Amino acid sequence: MRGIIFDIQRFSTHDGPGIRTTVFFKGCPLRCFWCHNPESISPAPEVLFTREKCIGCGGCTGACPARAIENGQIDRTRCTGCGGCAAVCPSRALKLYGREVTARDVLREAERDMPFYARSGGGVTLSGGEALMQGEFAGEVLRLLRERGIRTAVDTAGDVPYSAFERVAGAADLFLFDIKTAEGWRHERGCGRGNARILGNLHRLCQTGANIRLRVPVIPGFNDSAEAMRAIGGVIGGLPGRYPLDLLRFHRMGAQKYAALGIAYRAEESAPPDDEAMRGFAKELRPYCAEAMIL
Amino acid sequence: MKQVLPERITALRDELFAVESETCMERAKALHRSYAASEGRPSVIRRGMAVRDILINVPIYIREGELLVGSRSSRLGWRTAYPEYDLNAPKGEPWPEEVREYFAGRTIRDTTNFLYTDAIHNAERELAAGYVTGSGTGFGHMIVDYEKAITRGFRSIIGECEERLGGAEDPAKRDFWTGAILACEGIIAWANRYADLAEAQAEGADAARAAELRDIAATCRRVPEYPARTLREALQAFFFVHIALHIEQKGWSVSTGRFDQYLYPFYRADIEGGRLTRDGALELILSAWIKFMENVDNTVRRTTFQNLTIGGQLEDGSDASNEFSFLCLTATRMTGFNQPALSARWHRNIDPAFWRAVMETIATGVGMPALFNDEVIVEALKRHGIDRADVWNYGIVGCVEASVPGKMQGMTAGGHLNVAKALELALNDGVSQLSGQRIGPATGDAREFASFEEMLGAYEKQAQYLMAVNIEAANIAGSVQKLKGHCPLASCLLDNCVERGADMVEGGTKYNLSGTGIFGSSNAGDGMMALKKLVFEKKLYTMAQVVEALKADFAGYEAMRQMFLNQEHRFGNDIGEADAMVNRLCAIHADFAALHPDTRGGHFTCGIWPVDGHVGSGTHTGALPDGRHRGEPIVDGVGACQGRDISGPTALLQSVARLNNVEHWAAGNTCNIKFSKTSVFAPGGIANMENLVNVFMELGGQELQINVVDAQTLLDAQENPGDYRDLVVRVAGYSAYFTTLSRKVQDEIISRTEQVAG
Repeated sequence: MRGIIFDIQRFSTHDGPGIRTTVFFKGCPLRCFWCHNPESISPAPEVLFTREKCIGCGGCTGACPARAIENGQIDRTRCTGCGGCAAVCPSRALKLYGREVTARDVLREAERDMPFYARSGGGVTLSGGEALMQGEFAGEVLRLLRERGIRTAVDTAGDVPYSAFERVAGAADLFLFDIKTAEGWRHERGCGRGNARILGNLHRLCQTGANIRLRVPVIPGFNDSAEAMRAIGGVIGGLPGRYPLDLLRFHRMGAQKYAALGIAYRAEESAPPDDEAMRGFAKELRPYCAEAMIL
Repeated sequence: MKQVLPERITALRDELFAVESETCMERAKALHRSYAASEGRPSVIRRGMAVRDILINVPIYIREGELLVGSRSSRLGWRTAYPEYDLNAPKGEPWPEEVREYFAGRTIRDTTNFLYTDAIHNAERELAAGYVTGSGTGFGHMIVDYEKAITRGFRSIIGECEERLGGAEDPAKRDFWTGAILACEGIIAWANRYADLAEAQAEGADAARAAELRDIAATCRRVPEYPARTLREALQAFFFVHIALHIEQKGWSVSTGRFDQYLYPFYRADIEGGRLTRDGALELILSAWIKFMENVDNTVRRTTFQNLTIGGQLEDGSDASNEFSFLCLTATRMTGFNQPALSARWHRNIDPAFWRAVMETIATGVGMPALFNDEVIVEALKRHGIDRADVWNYGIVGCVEASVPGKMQGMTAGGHLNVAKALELALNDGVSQLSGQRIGPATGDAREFASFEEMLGAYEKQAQYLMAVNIEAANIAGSVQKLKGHCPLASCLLDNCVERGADMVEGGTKYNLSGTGIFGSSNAGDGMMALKKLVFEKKLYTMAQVVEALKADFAGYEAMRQMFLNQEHRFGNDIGEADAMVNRLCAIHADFAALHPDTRGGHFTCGIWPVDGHVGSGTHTGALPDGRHRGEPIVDGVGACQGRDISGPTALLQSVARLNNVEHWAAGNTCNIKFSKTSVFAPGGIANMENLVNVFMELGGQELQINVVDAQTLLDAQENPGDYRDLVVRVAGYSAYFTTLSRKVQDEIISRTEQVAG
């Protein structure tokens, strides 16, 4: 079977232990306003256009079968994401995000850094998007990696049917599980959907004894308060075990990609929380988890 | 652990850094008087006599607070002048009239230039080949047997020379020993002058300083004439030798070898004997670091390339690192000095605590130590005739060039070869695109090339031609050194010169090689891959179109340039075919070099140590099918072309490890990576860096240097992106090239770096 991914990133060092390769799955059920991978959200291939790289050669215009592009200006209503324009773009101003691959294709790429995984205790992380939206494919990838002796992790926001977890549970060495907020209404406002299913899944996953690392993104105006952190603390305090936790600092590194997709960036005006604030949040959460690291 | 510099060291440093440097003419004047008096005598005797006369006559000084003494010039921080090598370097030197008159037309530079062929001049003018060390300087680039000087002393060496002289008839040998004795007497007399001065200064000094000065005097009476007994005597003996080598010849990259090996026994004995504390030892080492900084000739890029090797293996393969190795790291961390240039040798059984201390030193942003792989370097040197019994003891010379201490004149930097230029010439029938002049052989009109093999054949001829030109230049320079560049003092500390009665310039050393610096191998590889893939396989362009586009520096051909830049088969991305292309091209000059003898009984080898020469060479290189514009810098080592390793450091290092390091790069190579402080100080950051390094070494990488840059550097990179194309920063968990990011993202990274660094 085939899945759709948009990137394979080598030397990832923040998505689990050691030196890792992260496979970015395309498609996500959530619509978090701060998302730093906006190209991950749609499950279909998309063309990104970086204006600064365009040399104005006009090659794309002629290459588009849907007549949806003129010198990089993409009519998104007509674009089918076929990637014809990106294929002829000499400067890579146009790039297609989203390609269909087999699990073996992923394995082949992931194998390249095996010596580094072995040395560093690293491995491969499936991320996204939401890797578990393609649960069956994710499971196949994980099993192949396992057979090859590569350690695995799944980075998930958790908003999928629990059956998706069951598909990967036996083959993932680690789950990186996001908790964005404890409050359902806030989750719905910031991410487009409530968090009941997410928290339910987290509880069930914990019951299985899975190896879990919690991840809390700190987002200005959304959850960057001591109360919000204490509320998250309440949720993780109610889990059947004490888990390690990473606090991920909000950043605007994805801003360019919004422009390249031609969509508005709703976190434009937000600023990353400073070190002191991050340390304060870590302190709030520390009583509820095995360790709290700031990444 | 942050340690504060002792006040003594801070004061010595501040005084040195405040100096407005000028040229000290004392050496030049003493040398001139000596040369005038020794006219007509054999060169090696004249040179030995000159060393003696300089060391006996130049004014000397002892700085307030110094524990170790000795200086190249008669004033702190001033440049030393070497009129016998070159009157025009540096330009506008205010030579005393009698000195200029005496040496005009008869310097080593003058003689070399006179003998150089038009082909050499043409190639040098465009930085295509040549620029040989020894053409207007001495060879430099060596590690003498400091251990012999420290543990035997020069009185014993004089004795050996006298004994050999007594029974010898061969006039050439007699001349060598005679010159050697003169030089050795000179260094002993010089040390005793420091003893006299220290005693005189002690008269007027306060009690504490007077005691120190009397210690200095006693030390200088003892060494380097007789064997050292303490760490302090050993270090003082080291510096008398090290500085005198810089007085004997105009040469840089005179390197220390394995400092932590030959000094450790003195350190241990002092500690065990209760004569010295660890802090006392550290103060001596910091004093040594000050001496290395004082010995900087600031006409040469503000460094003298005094490389200092630590770590590595013992003869039985066990780990060699010791407490003294740690102290060397500490001294560099505490001072932040760029001299000595630290090099650390890696092997599989390295002490993990030592290796972690190496990583932590790198993480401070000092850019050192550079890291070397014992497994690769030992094999590479063995291929060029170095015995197993000697090779394990290698040290690093200059930037990255391995040499056997006390046994080898590797003359690394024995010329240069810009293979990016060779590709340019192959595409233009031997005609330079910058000058319009023919500087290479006619290899055919590239517009007519019908196959990649034809293209490759033209490249091969150009590369071999330029290498041949370089070899000719190096051998002319070598012959001139034989004529009048003798270095009897250095030769006394290089096996088997004394035994053979032959100076190192005559090939007296046990091992001789001549390293050639290669520039632009990745540019040549990428350019050839682009031609192979886009022209000969995909047929997107004809050779005629490509040649026209290159002539126009891509004006009107931007789409083609972008295709070349972005074609996926580029070196440094873990793409087997692209990596193999670089190996294939490098075999051409490496194999050719190894077939050609030098003037000292050795042969030529290849290495890559661009220092900053990739910028200058780039200025003289036309547009290339790797998408590089005319005049842009070429690659700065064996890495990927600037900004073209788009697959991250693991991919880059796998490509570099895939180079035929043993077969092609016996004279060393260099791979640079830069990290921001944010990434290194993130949780697990140092461990990740260490793992990256260790895997690179295990895979067969040869050398790696890691720069960890701070916010200030990032700000500079924003203003001068051209200088920082290889700067990798962490962007939310992955690596990206800083200069390719938008201003906004750059600002954000800078603010994060400041947070972490602060």
